[in-house]
Amino acid sequence: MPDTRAGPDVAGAWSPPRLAYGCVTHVALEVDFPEFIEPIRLGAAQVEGAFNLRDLAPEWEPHHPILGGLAGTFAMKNHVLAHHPDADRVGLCQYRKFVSKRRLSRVVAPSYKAMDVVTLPALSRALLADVMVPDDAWLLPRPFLLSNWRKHSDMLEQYSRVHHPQDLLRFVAEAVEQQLLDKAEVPDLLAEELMLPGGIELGVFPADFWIRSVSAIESVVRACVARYPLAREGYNARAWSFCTERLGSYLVLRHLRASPASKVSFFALRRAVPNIGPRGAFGRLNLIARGTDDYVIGV
Amino acid sequence: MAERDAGLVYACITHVPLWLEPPPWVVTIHLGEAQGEGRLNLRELAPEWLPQHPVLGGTAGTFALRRYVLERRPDATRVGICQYRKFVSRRRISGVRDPRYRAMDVVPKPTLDGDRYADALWPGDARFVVSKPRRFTRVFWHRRGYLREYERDHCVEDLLRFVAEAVEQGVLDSREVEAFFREDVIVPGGVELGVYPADFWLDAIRKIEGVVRACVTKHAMVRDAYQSRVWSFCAERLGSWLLLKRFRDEVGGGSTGISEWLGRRRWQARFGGQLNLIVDETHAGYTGGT
Repeated sequence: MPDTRAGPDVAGAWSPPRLAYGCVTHVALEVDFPEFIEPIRLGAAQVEGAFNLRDLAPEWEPHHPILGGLAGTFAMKNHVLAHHPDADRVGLCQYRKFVSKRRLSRVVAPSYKAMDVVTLPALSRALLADVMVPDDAWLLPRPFLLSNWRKHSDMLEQYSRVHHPQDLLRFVAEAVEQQLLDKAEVPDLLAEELMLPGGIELGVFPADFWIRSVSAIESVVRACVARYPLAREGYNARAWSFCTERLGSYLVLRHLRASPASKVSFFALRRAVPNIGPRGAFGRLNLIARGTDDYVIGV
Repeated sequence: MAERDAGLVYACITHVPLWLEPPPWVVTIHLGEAQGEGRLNLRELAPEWLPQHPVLGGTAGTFALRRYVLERRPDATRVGICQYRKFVSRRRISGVRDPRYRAMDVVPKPTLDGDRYADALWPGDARFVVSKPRRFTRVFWHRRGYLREYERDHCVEDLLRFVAEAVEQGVLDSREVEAFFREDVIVPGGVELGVYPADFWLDAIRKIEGVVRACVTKHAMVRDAYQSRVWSFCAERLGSWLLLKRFRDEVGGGSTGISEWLGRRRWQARFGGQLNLIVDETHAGYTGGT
C-alpha cells in the first residue's frame, strides 16, 4: 500500500484490494489521480523507471501512432500479468476520460452525448478514489442506442457513416478466423444497436474476462496490422482502434447478456435502458476539460 | 442464326468434354483438363488466372471471356454465357424443377437433340436474359439477406473481406454495404450466366475481376472441396447486386417492400428467363457449386 504521508481524510492512502487500475496517457497527467491508479505511459510521456509502453509492450511501440490509446491497453494487459497476477478486477482510464459510479456533472459533452464534461478544479483525489472504484466487479459507461425514433442505425451503418466500412469488415473477418466470434454471430454483431463507449478500454472489468478479451483482440489487431498496412490520413489512421472499441463493446454486452444476472423485467421494454448486467454496473463516462473547450472524437 | 445478330458473342465455358454440340455461333472456352491445341483456352486468354482455376471454377472462364471479347470481338453488343451443363433460356423447356435448387429446371439431354439446343440458347433480341431471381427469405419474420445466407452456407469471413475489397476499390459505395448485406433477391449466376449488353457486362466483369485479384493476392487460403471456390461465390453475389442495381435503375422500383416487388415483376417480365441444368437419365438433384 503506498504511503501518501497524508491525513486520514485523504482517500488516496487507501487502495482497493486486488484491483489493478491503469491510466493510459501520452501526455503529463494534469489530474491528481488516486495513488492506486498507475499511469501507463505512451509516446512522449514515457520516462525512465515508469510503466512505459516501450518496456511493457515493445511490440506495439512502433504502432502507437495508428493505435493511439489501444497500445496502452495492450501494455496494461502485460502489466497486469507481470505485476498484478492476483488481481481480480482491472480498471482503465485515460488521461482525460474516466468512468465514475455516479454523475459528477450535468454538462453533457456537446459532440458526444454519452459523456459528461467535468472541470479540473472539481476533481479531488478523494472524490476520484470514491467514484472510480466500483462496489461490484463491473463499472462500465452506460451504453447508448445508435438508433433513435427517427432513424434506424446499427454498428455497420454507424461505422460506414463515420469511418471506412472496409476496416470493420476486415477486422470482423479476422476475429471470425481466429474464432473469437462465431460466424453465426456476424450478422448480429453488425446489426448491434447498443454501443458501450470505450469498449473494454474504459471502466472496471473482472480480470479473467478482461485479460481473455484483450489478449484475443490483441491477436486480431496483430493480424490486421500485418495483413493490411493501412495508410489513411489523419483521424482515420486509427482504424483498428475504432474497430476494437466496437468489438470490445460487443464482447462485454455478449458476456453480460449471457450472465444469469440479466433477467427479463418490466423495464426490459424500455430499450433505452439496457437491462443487462449486475446492479450498479453502469456508471457515467466523464471527460476532463480544462475550460470550455469542446471534445473532438478520437482525441 | 449468327447472321441475325453479328454483335452477339456467346460463349460456353467448360472444363470437361462438352455434353452437347453447341450451335456454330457459340464459342467454347476451355478450362483445366479440357484445354487443348487449337481451342480457346484459359491458359492463352487469361494466363494470369490459370493457377487460380481451382479456387475460381467457372469464374476464371468468365475472366477469359472478357479478354476474348476485348481482343477479338471489340464490335460486340451483347455477351452471352452458358456453362457446360447450365444455360439460361428465354422460356421454360422441360418444366421440371430441380428437387434441390428450385430456381432451376432439369432438362434431360435427349430433349435438346438437333436444333433444339440452339433454339433454347438463342436470346432473340432481348438485351438481357437472366435467370428468374430467387429470394432468400422463406418466412417473412426471418429476413435472410446476402450476409445471413452466406454465413449459413459458407465461411462468412470471405464475404466480409471480399466486400471490404469492393469498397476499397470503389465498386461498392461505403454507404451501400448495409444494403448489400440486407439484399434478399439474388439472380442465380450473377453476371456469369445469361445474356447481357456488352458495355454493362464488360464493366461489371472488370470490377469483379479487380476485386477478386486483390482478394487472391491478400488472402491466399485453402478451403476444403466445395468451399474452395470462395471468390466465385462472392463474385456471384456482387454480380447479382450490380445486375439488380441496373434493373432497378431501368424499370424503377425501390429495394424493399411492395415497390421492390413491383419493380421485380417488371424487370422479370422483360429480362427473366429460365435457368436450366442439362442432365443425363439418372439425376438425383443438383449439388450446389458443380
